Amino acid sequence: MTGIEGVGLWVGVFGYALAIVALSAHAFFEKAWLQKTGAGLAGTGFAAHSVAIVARWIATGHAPVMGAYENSLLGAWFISGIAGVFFLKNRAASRAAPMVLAATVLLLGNGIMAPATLAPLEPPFRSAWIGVHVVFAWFSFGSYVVASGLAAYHLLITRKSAPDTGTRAALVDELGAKLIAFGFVSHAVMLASGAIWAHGLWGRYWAWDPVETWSLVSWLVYGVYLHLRFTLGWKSRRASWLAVAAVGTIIVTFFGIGAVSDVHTEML
Amino acid sequence: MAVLLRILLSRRVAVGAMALLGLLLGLSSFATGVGPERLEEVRAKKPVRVWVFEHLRPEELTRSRVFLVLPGYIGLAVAASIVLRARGHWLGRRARGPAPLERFVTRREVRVAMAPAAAHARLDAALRRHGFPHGPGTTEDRHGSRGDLGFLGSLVFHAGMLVALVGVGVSSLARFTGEVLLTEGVPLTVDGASLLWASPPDGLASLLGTRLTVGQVAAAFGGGGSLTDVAAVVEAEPPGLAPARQMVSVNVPMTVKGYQLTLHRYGFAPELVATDETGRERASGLAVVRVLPPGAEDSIALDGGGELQLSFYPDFVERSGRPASASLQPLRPVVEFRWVEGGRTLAAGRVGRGEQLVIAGRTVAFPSLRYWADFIVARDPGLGWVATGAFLIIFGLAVRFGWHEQAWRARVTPQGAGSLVALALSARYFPAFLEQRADGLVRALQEDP
Repeated sequence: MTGIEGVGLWVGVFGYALAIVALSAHAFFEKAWLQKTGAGLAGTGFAAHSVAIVARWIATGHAPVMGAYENSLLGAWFISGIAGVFFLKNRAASRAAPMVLAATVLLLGNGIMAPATLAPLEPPFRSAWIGVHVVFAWFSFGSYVVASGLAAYHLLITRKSAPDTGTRAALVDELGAKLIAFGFVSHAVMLASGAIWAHGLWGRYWAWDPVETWSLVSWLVYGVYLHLRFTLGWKSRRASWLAVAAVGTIIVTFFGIGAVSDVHTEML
Repeated sequence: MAVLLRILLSRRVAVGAMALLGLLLGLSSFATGVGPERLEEVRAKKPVRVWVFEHLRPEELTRSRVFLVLPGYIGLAVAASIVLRARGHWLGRRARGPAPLERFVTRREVRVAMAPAAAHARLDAALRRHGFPHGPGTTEDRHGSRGDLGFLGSLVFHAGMLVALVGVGVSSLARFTGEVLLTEGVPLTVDGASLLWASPPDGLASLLGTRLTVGQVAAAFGGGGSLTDVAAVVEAEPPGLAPARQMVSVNVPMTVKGYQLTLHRYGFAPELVATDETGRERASGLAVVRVLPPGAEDSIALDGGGELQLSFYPDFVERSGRPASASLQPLRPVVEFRWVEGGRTLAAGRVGRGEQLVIAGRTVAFPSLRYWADFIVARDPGLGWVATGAFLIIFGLAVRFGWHEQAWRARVTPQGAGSLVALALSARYFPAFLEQRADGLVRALQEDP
């Protein structure tokens, strides 16, 4: 890890952590200045996080796509980036920000615990397909995580003891579904580009390695979600519980069984 | 028959089948990491568990007939759904008049202090601004719809699923995979026995008789001695055709007569000459040794019995009196050997490139070093189907979610000095957003010009 990268990373982590505190306090005390402070801290954290990514990119000479540290760094950036764009456009959902930021901090924590050795790009990663595969992988991951944060927030505001939040709750519910639909399309691009890349790299487009298997499993699970929601009419709390549960398959894909096996990028 | 048809057309059953497919595949991934040795160890004690693991591995599971029923059923259900929905949609289009309202409908009545003609003009502008597609209508009524594109997207997506499933089927029936090892500068003519393995064994067809030669093998290293790329020049001479020559590297395969040659592994091939105490040459040629980990043991047979056991260190160093390799680059290549006959080691030593070592009357010489390169040979007629299916899936999904069905109607009638605008807005998805847009539309109608 380089010096600038380390500073950016830690400023990012603290920015996000303090933003969680401020935005959570805003949810209780309803003070506008708390919301503004929280948004500012989250924005500062994101800017510092971006600096860390650029510094690492320059130091290694490649996009941060190898190993647990780089994957966490980039994955967390996509979560906060997607959340930022989404919440700016949809203020009704911005109260779910502390949950999404918590996922960002957890993911960065996962990265910080992994070795951050600077290393050149390994042979399997030297492909034109890497950009498409990785970018859409993180788009889908980020969208699903933000959607699960929205679903958790929806469950919170629609519990029996919660004050009536009718319209806002319905909008939050639907925003989550929109994000899952976007994530599902990105996920399909990730699967297809990965298969084409694999055929050039290994001479086969599918090999049932744990990461491949789980990325298909999670795509099927989100496919089930979309069918239940749009075809069979699931909505509100039932759909939210499913969205929260479904993100488990994504965590297994990206950081569970996939992370303990390097078969997915094994070569030579 | 009717029951079977009902099951085939049931969306609940199809969604349940998708969930079951995901569940089985998810479980199967946990069986991937259990190797055959481990299973043999526990077979006697836990036969049931071993049976489950052996049948649950993704490679086994996805070939089992019981499992194949699921994608087969999903494929049929998708095909049936496409036919029925397309038929219903295009039959519905024949009916004249406004498009039917979609699943979620919201209605509004707005009084505006202006004549109907002016109210119409404002309504048109407001509808455009709030994303309700402009449609035909009389001076009193307006109506519009959009969604043909979204519906087509859904059909394309599901058709893409079918095409991809066909591709997977074609792959499993007609795919060929094998592995061939080429030593630098040593030509190999492809025949039934020249591959390390082949599946199916008789699947080489048009590649038979092709002469393959690999040369200029080079490995590139970056900071910290990490391997960054491996490249080689492959020359292929199919019988009766002009030779083809191409540089291949990791991720850049070569295609010869429909077969893809993918650089898979590489290693070192030290040239060794072993002579025994009588002066008889017992081995002479290129030995194929592994590159990882440095010092991994390989062996070559000795003429007349016995073997020369080898460990290769590309960049030899001694660490605490033990042999090691400082890097994977062949800077100081050293072969460590043990001359074994009848289970006894008769001579052992280390010999560097360009050197020879005489020990216990036996001579081992290491005149030169070359590389070997290992290629996956594959031909997959299903790949094009799968790629086409994937393209249709992505395109269909993007269109589906980007342009989902909406329909609206509006009527403007005179009321006192002003007009009454009655709105019926509908969308297939997202009712809360529809309400929000309807509120925005009402505000736009009511605001002062």
